[in-house]
Amino acid sequence: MTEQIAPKQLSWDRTVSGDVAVHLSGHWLVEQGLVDDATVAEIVDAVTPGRAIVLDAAGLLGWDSSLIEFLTRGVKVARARNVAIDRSGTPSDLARLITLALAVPDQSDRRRLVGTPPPLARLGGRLLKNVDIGLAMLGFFGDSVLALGRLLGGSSAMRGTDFLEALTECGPRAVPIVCLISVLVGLIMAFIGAVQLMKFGAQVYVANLVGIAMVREMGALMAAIIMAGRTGAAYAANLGTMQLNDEVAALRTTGVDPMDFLVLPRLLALALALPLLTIFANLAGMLGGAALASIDLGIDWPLYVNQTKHAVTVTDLCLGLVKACLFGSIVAITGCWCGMAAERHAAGVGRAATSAVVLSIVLVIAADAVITVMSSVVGI
Amino acid sequence: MALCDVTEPSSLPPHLEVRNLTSMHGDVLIQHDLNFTVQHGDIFIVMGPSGSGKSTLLRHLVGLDRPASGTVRYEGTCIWGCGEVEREQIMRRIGVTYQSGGLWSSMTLVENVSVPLQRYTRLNSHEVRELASLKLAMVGLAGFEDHYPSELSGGMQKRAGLARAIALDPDLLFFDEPSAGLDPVTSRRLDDLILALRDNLGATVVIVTHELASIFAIGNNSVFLDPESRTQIALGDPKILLRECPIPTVHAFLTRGSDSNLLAPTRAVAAAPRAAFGQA
Repeated sequence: MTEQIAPKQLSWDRTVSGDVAVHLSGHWLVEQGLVDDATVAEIVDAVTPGRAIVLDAAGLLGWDSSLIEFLTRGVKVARARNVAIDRSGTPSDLARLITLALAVPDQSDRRRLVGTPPPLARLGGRLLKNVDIGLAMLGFFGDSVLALGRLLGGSSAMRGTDFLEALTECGPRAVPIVCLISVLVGLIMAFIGAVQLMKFGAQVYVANLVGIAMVREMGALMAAIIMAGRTGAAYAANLGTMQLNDEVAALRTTGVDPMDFLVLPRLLALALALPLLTIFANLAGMLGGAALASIDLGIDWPLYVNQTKHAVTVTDLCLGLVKACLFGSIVAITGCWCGMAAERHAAGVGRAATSAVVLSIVLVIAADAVITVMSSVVGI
Repeated sequence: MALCDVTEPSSLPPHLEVRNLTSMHGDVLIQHDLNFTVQHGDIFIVMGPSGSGKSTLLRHLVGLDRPASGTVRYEGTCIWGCGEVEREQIMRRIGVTYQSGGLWSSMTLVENVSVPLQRYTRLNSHEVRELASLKLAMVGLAGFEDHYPSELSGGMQKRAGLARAIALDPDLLFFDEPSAGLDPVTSRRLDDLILALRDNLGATVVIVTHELASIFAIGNNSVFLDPESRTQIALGDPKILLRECPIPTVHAFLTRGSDSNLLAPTRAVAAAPRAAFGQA
């Protein structure tokens, strides 16, 4: 059985006394659209000052939110112009819903008081905000150094099991992906190098190119970038969620420093694991180079190994490993900081993971550039 | 708005004293000029409608967030503005349970309860485990020592959070919405547990809640935070406030709005689906 839908009807007329009678009839349904602002204003304006609007819903057959919306908007406009509304002619449940919609006063004054500032002020504001973020991160770095000091002084709340767990997570489990990427990087470098070196008949120097590049630069850099995406993001999401669940607050109120308990094991694990991963990356890169050299250039394995041995020095290796340790610390601190500074909602945790990856990759590459320049100045 | 104060003046030194506390979130004012005292052995309720800043106030009281201005004193020692060492000493003597439990998800229950014991006592690991199991048994979770928080129901997580909060036999226990998300029976049992712990440990209890049943069942002092004027508008025993407080907001809150016309819209919500397509 379908009920016949009668289209909504809205009409009004001025009574002799100066009141305006508003007649509502038919079915008021959202599908028929809402009443526009001009009509509302017209009705309210038609009232003689001091008189009221009288609602008459005698012909009303049915209604949904569209009618409530029209009436609450009308009530607000009427209030603003000091016009009273007589709602006694409306069904009682409709009147209650309108009361409900108007029961809680508009709390727009609780929103931020400042409107949109001019562009220059916005730019300055954003700059200051970034300076604040930079300072906060520097403070976080300082805190982690203090936490390390406490660990060496024997008064740290860090648990050994947390450290071992973090080490397993960012060490052995990351070896396959680091090796895979490094083999490919070594292969690509060897290929590009071979094309150029062949012009001089100096193909054998592919081993020097790949060896030095991997050990000094690419091994540590590739491992750091992979770990930023893999572990840095995980740290940020992990700590961000703990923040969200009041786990970090619970640590604080228990008197346990979250730096000791959460950040330090992760920082130590990654700072230790990254040099080890870099060794794997170096070997895998050179393996990739050797594979291409033997297939494409006809350089056999003993020759390649010998050539590499002459080219790569212990200094190169140490430089790469020291860098790896630094990169590991950068990735861990950035990831943990993004997590601890995350806003306390689901989107905040997502943003924390994203910015952990982006920020740590930027910082790692910037640090690498600085070290490369410095080492060339010093002559290493 | 005038303050409705039905507390009886006490000559005893207060356990917790809040003076002129103002709370901001960025540039948004949450609450201003809060002044109240909690006596030893009180079950003090921080109540108010949702969004009135109750949980934020709690974070100021337990030393998590610094208030914009004002002081919080524990037996005369302030926690904001004094040294880290004093604050840590005070924090050692309070226990906090969080709205969502706040249990460390990577640890089993017994490990959760053990952390404060390991931090502040010189017990060996066997003794720590014994004591942690005892605390779990006190909240009715004997046998769940090696479960992870995610394996428990909401009510059990709250009780485990409570076990952790009482690990160091605190003088002052804080609860953030203990009964939120719990069924009435579980919530009632938690209330009984809070009362029993208060009596057995001799602790003072501060509870943030808007559960009327709990407020009247266990509270003997309270502060009412009003989200509109953004300050406290009522102080004292909730049962006396119910009888004597003339402020409509407080009265409506304590009576679920049944004596004022606020009930009418509440009923209309239930009636709305029927009315939507009904004959008018």
